[in-house]
Formats: sequence, C-alpha cells, structure tokens
Amino acid sequence: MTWRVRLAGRLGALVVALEFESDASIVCVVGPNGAGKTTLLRAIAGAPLGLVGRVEVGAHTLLDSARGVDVPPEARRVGYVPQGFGLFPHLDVEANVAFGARDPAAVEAAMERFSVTSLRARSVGALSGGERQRVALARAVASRPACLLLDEPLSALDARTRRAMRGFLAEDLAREGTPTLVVTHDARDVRALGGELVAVEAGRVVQRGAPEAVAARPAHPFLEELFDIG
Amino acid sequence: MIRGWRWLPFALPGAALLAFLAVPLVALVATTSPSALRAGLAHPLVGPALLLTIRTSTAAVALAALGGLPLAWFIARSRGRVAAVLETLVALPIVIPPAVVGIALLLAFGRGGVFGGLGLPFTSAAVIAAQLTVAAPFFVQSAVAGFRNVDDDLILVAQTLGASGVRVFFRVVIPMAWPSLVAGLGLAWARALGEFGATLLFAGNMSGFTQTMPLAIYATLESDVQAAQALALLLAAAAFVLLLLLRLVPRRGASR
Repeated sequence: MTWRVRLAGRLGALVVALEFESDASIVCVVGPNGAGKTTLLRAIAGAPLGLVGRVEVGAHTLLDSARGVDVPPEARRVGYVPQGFGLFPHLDVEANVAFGARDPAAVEAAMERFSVTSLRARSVGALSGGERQRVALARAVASRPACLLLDEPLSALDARTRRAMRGFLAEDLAREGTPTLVVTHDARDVRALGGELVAVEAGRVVQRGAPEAVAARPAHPFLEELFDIG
Repeated sequence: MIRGWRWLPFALPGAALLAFLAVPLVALVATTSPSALRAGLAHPLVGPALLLTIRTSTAAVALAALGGLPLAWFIARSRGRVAAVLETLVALPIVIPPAVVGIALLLAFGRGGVFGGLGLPFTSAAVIAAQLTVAAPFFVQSAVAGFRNVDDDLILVAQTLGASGVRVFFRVVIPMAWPSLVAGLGLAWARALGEFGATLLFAGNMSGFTQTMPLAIYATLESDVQAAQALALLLAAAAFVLLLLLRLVPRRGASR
C-alpha cells in the first residue's frame, strides 16, 4: 500500500477523522474550503497539530500514535510545497533549491528538471508566479524526498501558465513515480494528473476512487459541482 | 479632503502640538555655538560619562538580545494563557516608573535583599542591570512581533527539507524577522542610553563608575550649563541617528 492514513483529533472547530488507503502513486485530494485538505498535508509533513493515528507512505511509518512513533518533520523525507509556494524570501533561487539538500548534483538535477537553472542567481521576489512554483517544486525534490505533498500547486497561476504547468506536472510526476498527494479545486487537474481521487468534507473522507468513477457517481454535492465546471 | 476653511479647527491644534514638540529640540540646538559646545565637552565629567554610557548601554543591549531572542521565540510560539501572562510580565517594566524599578532592584539585590550577596548596587554592573531591566522589554516585544509574522508554513517547509530546529531558527526565522529584531535593538538602545531614574537609585551617581550621560546632565546642570547642554546634544544626536538608521533598515523578509 502506497498511502495508509488514519488521522483523528480536533483543530479549532474542525473535528478531524480522516482515513484512506490507496495504492495509487498520485492521489488528488479535493473538497470545499475548510474541509481539512491542507490540514491533511501539514499533518503528513509533521506539523505539530496534535492529531493522533497512523500515517504510512510506502515502507515508511511517519506516525503511529499507538506505538509512540512520531517522526519529526526533518526526518520524514517529505517534499512539501504549501499554498503560495513557501519560498524563503531572503535567499536567492539557488539557495532556496539547495536549502537542506546534501548532494550538489541533486540540486543541479532538480533545477534542470524544473527549468530554473537560468534563474539561479535571481531574487525570489523578482520571479513570476510560474517561476516561483517551479523553484518550489525543484526545492522539494532536491533533497530526494520519499513523497511529495503539493497544496493547490496550480491555483496561484494565470490561466495560460496553469494549462502549461498542468501538462508538465502530470508528465513529470508520472515519469518520476514519487508518491504524490495533490490538493486541488479543479477537476481538470484531477483528470490530467490521474491516479486516485480522495474527496474530503468536514474533516472526513466522503468518497474515494478513480476520478471517472467518482465523476460518474458523485456522493456529495460539492463533487457534482467540481465535475460540472470541469 | 475637507473643503473650504473647515479644516482649520483640526489643523490648528495639530500644528500647535507639532510646534510644542519641536520647540525644545530647536532651543537645544539654537542656543549653543561650536565654541560653547567645545567648552562644554571639555568638562571633566563629560568624557567619563560618555565612555561609561557607551560601555554599559552596549552591554545591556547585548544581554537583552542574548536572553531576549530565546524568550521572544518561546513567547511567539506559545498560545493562549501562557503567552498572555509572559507578554504582560515582559511589558511591565515599560509602564512601571523607572524610580519604582530602581527601588525594586535595590530590594532584590541590595544589602539584605534576596540576592544581596552579589554586591551589585552602586557598581557599573548595577548601571547595566538598571538599563537591562528597562530596555530589554522593548527588544523582546519587537522580536515577538517579528517572530509571529514568520509564516508557520515556511518553518514547516524548512523542517521537511531536513533542517533541525536550531538551523531553522538561524537560517529562516532570524533572517525573516530581521527588520523587527533590528528595530527592537534600536529601541532598546535608545531606552538604555536615556536611563536615569532606576540608575540613580540603584547605581548612584559616581563619575567614572555609575554616572552615565543622563546623570551627568543632572550633575552638571547647576554648575555648568554648557556641559549639560553639550551632553544633551550628544544624547539627542545619538537618538536621532538611531532613528534614522532604523528607517533605513532594508525591509527584507517583508516581501513574499
């Protein structure tokens, strides 16, 4: 099993009881605002949210509250790209990508892979949205993570960049095969990226399956809307 | 915009206040001359007071930063009641009158006090202690505000990239909070430079040992106004330069 997630707890007004398993390398997480999608990603990344349960990605156990296992974020080997990309504004592009990476060759490869090599000396503040996103992705893969967590990676981009990036990302993730969890609001992302769909609402998983199957029989009104627009 | 002359009732009191704030400073500068300034600076109390003030305020600000960074980080990361209580405690010396701080320091560290054995009162170390007490809160408050502004997600990203807590603090948190930290240092320094009441009560007024510039102003005012004015001008200039430097701090970390 690639993903095995069971998380429970309370975060402000949100009661979290998230549970899903999936063998798919790519899992798209959809759901209304405040449903707990970002919480899911941050919890897998190791943020101290106070949630209990069990998180396994591939052969790695990241959290197992019953056995007292809670791997700290710096040892989880996850590549986390938050909404807004989370670049370090005081570092240039290369220093961002190299942050935390041990192997200079991996840094170069990551910059090549996301076509940011020519931006290496640029200040992060001077980048366009698409460039920032590619830098964030390059940084996430440069430390050779065991999985990727992408929080709405395409939503901050303009329509044209988004289309181009969607195709690129779908191809790139399929080729590299790193287990990846993608939070999105867009049915086109789900269709392009493939993999499995996990629908989250009010802190729980309300439906799970192949995107076509969920689109054919949506179990929740927000899923109907999601696939209507798509 | 307010049209016609109706803005006058607002503008007049505002202009009056501005003038009232400016007049003493203008008088301080306008009533001296280069020769009077030179004569004032030659007064035997001025040199020692200047050196002592530079030494003690630097030490006080360094200590404020050393202890203030971890304390501010802890306050910024705590939630709810703990954070509120700590923040109030740290802010207390800002609102408590300096004379009260001086008495309190004497009661704690003076003869017969809990820490009386340290022999702190009426030494240069007592000057530093008084300055530290009144100046540190300014640094801590500013640092807490700066740390709170650092996005949790950036910290989490840095951690997931393999950075330990110490590395995250020095490579991400401090650079991003830099403008607030520098502003806090500047405010703390300005406050330490001007410290008077607590120093007088806790450290005394001995030239070369505990007489800082504000105390030397007090000591020279009756006998030699020129010396007092020269010291006052030096302090005012230092404060002005400090303010100017703070305005020039690059706002790095402020942009995303």
